[in-house]
Amino acid sequence: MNKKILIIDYGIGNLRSVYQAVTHLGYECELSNKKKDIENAYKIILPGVGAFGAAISKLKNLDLIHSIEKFKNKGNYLLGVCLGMQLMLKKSFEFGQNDGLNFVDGQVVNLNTIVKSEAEIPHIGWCKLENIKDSKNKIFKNIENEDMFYFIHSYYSKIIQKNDIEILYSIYNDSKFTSMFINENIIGVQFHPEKSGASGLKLLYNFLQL
Amino acid sequence: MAQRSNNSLRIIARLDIKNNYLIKPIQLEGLRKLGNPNEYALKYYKEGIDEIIFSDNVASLYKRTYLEEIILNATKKIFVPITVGGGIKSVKDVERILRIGADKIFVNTAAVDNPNLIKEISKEFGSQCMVVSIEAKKNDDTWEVYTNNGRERTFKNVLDWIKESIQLGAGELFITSIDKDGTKKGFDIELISNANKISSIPIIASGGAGNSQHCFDLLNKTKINSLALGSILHYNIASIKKIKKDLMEENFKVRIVNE
Repeated sequence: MNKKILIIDYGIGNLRSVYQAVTHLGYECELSNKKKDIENAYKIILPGVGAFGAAISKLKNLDLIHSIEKFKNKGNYLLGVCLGMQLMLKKSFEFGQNDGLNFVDGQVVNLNTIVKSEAEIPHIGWCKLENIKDSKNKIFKNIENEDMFYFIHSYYSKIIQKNDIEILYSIYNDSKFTSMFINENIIGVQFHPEKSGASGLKLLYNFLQL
Repeated sequence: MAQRSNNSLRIIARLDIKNNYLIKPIQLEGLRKLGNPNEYALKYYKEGIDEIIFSDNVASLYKRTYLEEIILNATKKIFVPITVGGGIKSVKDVERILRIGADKIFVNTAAVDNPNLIKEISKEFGSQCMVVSIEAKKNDDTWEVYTNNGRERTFKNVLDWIKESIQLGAGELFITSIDKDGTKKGFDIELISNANKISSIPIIASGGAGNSQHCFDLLNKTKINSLALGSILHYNIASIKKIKKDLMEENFKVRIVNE
């Protein structure tokens, strides 16, 4: 089986950083926006920065949504990074309402709904995964409580239906927000593992090893 | 003043570049060559820097950029955020810089000339990558915005420009005190404190850090979380590890990197 890592290239975001990190970890990877490549991929990373609406439109215009669903239903691993994580939810409230991929029952909502009014938004900075010690998932191998990850976002993933979904949270200005979810083969991270130094590389490596 | 939040600080290395050299200006002027910027950046990454800023100091003056190769090299080995600026004039320039691996870009001169550029960039790529760089100098009792590396006056008031930038979609402010830059005599606390009071977005304070005490002084009088360091690192006055250790001993939260 072709064990290349596929990064979905849908014309948004800084794909190069993810590509460099995966390559640095000794894995072959390719960028693609072809339906066939996605449906037959071994493992996929869905990156993304910018606005939800624009991103989901680009996936639609490239007719990739059904292919991503097909891939997901095979049970292979899919990692959504930052906006890529948010795209996997049911709905977003960023600049109006948009439907997402609906792999997880949740909503993308502004951080200003949970943090204190004086908190700066976007949230830019490094946070721990507060409840990481409760998880036995292999994706956290060699990662300690003290490991920190780099976040840059104004919106976060509010998970509605939590059954069977592992949720990790971080704290910004004393408020808890979802920093990661694991729903079987579907994994979302709000932070940028490719920009989180050695901690991020460990997590990315563990994902590649799953 | 409300209590400082419990967030971790961001300790950022500021690398000023001329052609393919790391330089360290004083008050944004003068060009002492220090060496290969990629070597310095990699060293800082390994020592635990939280972010790196590359500032191309001649780009806006001579309308050219030498940064691309430096960024390409940096992104192969450095896995923390990289912010790039100097000479960026258009959405096309931003696209090119992001494509080769930068995470954020900053704009100064071109944004002052055409404030709408801030709106265009944040609309196209998201406000998270749109950093407005402000070069501030105190004239009489107010701070004035300068462009072209502190060479040109604009007669714009810094605090007004901050408000306008935020309105237009800036995601972050990178504020350099021209008076303090390269002096190693401490940050311009008054400037940063005034900016902090009116800003709803994160601020990176730049200019003047010469020792850990200068960092405490600023952090104790403002609520900002992000400090840009130049001379103190480039001249090896203190290492990143030492500065972070000092900050930790003063009960500030920092990211510690274990080897």
